[in-house]
Amino acid sequence: MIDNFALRTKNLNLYYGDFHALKNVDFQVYPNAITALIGPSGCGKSTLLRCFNRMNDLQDDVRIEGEIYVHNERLEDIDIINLRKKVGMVFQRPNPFPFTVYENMVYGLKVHGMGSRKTMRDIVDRCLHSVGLLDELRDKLHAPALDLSEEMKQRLCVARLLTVEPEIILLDEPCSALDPIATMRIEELMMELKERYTILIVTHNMQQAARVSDHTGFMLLGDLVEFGDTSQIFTSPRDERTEGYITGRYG
Amino acid sequence: MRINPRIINRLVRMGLNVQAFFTVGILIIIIAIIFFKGFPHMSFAFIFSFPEDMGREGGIFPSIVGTIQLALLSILFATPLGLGTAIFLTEYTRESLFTKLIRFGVESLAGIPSILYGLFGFIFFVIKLKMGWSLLAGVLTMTIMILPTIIRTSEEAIRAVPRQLRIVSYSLSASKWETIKKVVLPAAMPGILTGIMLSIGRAVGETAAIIFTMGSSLRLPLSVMDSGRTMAVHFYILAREGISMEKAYGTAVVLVLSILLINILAYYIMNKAIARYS
Repeated sequence: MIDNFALRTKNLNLYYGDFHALKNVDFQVYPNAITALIGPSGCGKSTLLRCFNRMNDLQDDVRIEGEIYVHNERLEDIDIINLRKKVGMVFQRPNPFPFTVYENMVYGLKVHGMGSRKTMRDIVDRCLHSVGLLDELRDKLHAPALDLSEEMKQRLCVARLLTVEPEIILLDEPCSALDPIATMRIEELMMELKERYTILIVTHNMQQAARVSDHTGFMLLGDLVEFGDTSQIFTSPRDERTEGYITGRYG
Repeated sequence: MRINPRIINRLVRMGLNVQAFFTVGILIIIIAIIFFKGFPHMSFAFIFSFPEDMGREGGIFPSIVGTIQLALLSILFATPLGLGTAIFLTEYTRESLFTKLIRFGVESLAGIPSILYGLFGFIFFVIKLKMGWSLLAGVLTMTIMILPTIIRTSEEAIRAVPRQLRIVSYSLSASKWETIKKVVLPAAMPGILTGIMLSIGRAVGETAAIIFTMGSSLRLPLSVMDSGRTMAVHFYILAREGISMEKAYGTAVVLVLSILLINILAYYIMNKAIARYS
């Protein structure tokens, strides 16, 4: 049987030193859809997300057991540079480099040695357009990126990621530093992006998961308690712990 | 009895003002005396002509050239070495006994009086390596002397670059070296430049270490094996040996002006860098 998952884990266990952070997690992400991971702080949802582009490697004392697949390829078989090109990430806090907008946008391209000046300019325009920033920033390409509003910074980070043409985008609580209107606009952006990309989002905002995602996983203390269609999870959860969380009994 | 806090406040404020004025005042007095005594002896010819009669007559052209040569070459040697050490200490090692040892060594180097550097340079470069009194021996001695400053300031600057920026760079599939080269170093540039500028100032103002290694010949150094003197050394010899106080103050004016120029240039470059990267 050939699975058609963009990302999947089998029996995944992760330890920070002695702390067992992920416990036997079997999880999958469908292509060209938005999958949300919800759960209270410290449940392991960000840790799981960071497994897919090996960001956990940057921390000391992390041990990972089990299988992780990206498009049916074992994670260990993928060169880390290619993996991070394929699986991009947007972080919790908008984090443009302290350079100009343009330099931020071409950073990934330069790292990969992609394109001449002319094609770079085209790619920059196209990616800024994808995140709805082109009109606002067309004349400000050489302004410092840190002068933008928080929402624009986060959009810029998404656009910066798009330049390297990832297939899968990991979003780690991308709206937690934004106000409600900016959050709404980033959510609209996600809906547009899912046409072309596979998206996995970690959020502590249940309404956000309900609004944007197709599939939802609920995590608690390192366990993936329940995984299913978003509508099912939010209307008829099978596990009482899930029900307890989404009805606000804890978390 | 309780003193009215408003009065204390006013007193503290006055005291701090006095201290600040005192600091600036000293600087102004020094510069004023040097200019007052030296400015009449400054001229186009003084800057661009050769000294005659041991410096009693003529200009200071060779010592100006010698100063520039010494400062630039020392920076050229010390910057890659110091920056490399700083990158190694911050990015490629964990805190360990080894890094503590390196840092302790760096601090100790920084605390050694310059006359000892001069003596070391004389024994090692001039005698042992048979360089003789030469620009090269001076430059190598100066390089060791300014290395601690460059290492410390670069290290601080690199450490101040947020870790988050490195993580983003990795997530965009940049390698470690690319991250350092394209993100960390540019972001740390203002701090690194500060260290370089401080070091130039130190090289320009040094005397003891230079007399022992670069010598004090009055000719224009045309190769790195030639001996020569810097403006600071020239000033020292003119004043110490009572050759000509007028020419000494003239030299001091040029010296002070060039240090001011370097500082202004440093501010300019740093402001540009800061405007660009923050």
